[in-house]
Amino acid sequence: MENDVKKIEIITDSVLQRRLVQAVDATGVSGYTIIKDVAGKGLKGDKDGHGISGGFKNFYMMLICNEIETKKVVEAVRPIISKYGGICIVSDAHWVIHN
Amino acid sequence: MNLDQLLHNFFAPPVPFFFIGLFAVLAKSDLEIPGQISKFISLYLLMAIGFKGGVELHESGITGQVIAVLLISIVMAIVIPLYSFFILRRRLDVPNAAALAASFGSVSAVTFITASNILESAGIKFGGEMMAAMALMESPSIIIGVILYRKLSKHDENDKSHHMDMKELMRESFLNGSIVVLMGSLLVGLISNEHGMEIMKPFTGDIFKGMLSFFLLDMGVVAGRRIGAIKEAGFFLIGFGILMPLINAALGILLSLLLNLDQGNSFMLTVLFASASYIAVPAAMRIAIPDANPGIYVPVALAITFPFNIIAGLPLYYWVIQSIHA
Repeated sequence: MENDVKKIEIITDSVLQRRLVQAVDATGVSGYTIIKDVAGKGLKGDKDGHGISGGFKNFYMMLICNEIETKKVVEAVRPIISKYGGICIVSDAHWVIHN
Repeated sequence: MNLDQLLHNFFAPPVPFFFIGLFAVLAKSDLEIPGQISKFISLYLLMAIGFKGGVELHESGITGQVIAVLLISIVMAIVIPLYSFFILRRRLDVPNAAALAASFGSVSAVTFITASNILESAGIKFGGEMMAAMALMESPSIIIGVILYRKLSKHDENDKSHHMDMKELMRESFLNGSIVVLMGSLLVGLISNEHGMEIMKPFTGDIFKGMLSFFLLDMGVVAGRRIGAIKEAGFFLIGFGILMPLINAALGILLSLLLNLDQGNSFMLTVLFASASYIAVPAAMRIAIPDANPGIYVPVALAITFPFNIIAGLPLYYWVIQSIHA
């Protein structure tokens, strides 16, 4: 369907934000949403959000892409997530309003 | 100043707020300082201390002793992580030993600022070059840690994923936000001198102790939350986190004597050598040494060495230096 899209969600270390944004920008996608200072727990330990070094904080990035863009973004972030840890999820979505 | 007076100064604000923060965590209080406020206050403290340092440096001028202090600071920022690394290698693998060694080669700005406040309360001056020394000591250990990791860790030399662009690392190490604010405000202080001091006084002077109190409250909370990790660290790392500042402080006192520094400068140089970074270095290590575990290198510097220095180290170093100069 015309309104079917892919939703990409990426969660990784706050200190990696600049690198990840650069990698995503290089794919040519038109936009994304970032939530800074996200807390949680995962394979790399407890990210409780405390401290000002960024070492115990994550950030969250969400992108809405078509099939081709999705492949580009996933391949761009794969080396970063593989090296430093984090998670990248792709799910089917359906947009209803987009202005 | 005798020991009673020292303790009196020590337990006047801002230091007791550190214990309030620590207590809040241990008592399971819901006290929490929003991260952006902590970030703002840390930048404020660096700006205020950098500015004062610049003004004082203008007054003292760039003397031979100032240059000697700056050079010795850089040398120690290279040497401390080297011997720390080989001590840590007895129990830790290369990535964790390199990351922790880098933390100890760098400095804790909060410990430094707390020490400066103790001197101020005692009416003892110290030179603006100490702020420049703090800025210069932030980064070399990051480079040393990464070199040790690359040279000594067992990984495939062809595996490019272990290689981070050195130029990028240098830029991130030497131009991180803290250093830019500290050096920038030092420069502004140096140029604007007493006139600038007059303009900035309400910001850099009047509210300084209150802001430092608030920041130490937050540091108490942050350190308290990492205390649980001490149990996992084991006796070796606890011992390292306490003995290493003492060894580095002894070296600082010795070098201060060789450089013929006065009491205030000796104390500040000693504090620089004895402290460990838990802000700038961990952020750099997370990127440069991804195999190292932040759950090891952050708590040792933050939950062992930092409280040790605040509670016991600073009064001890002060007392020793005062006895030498008496």
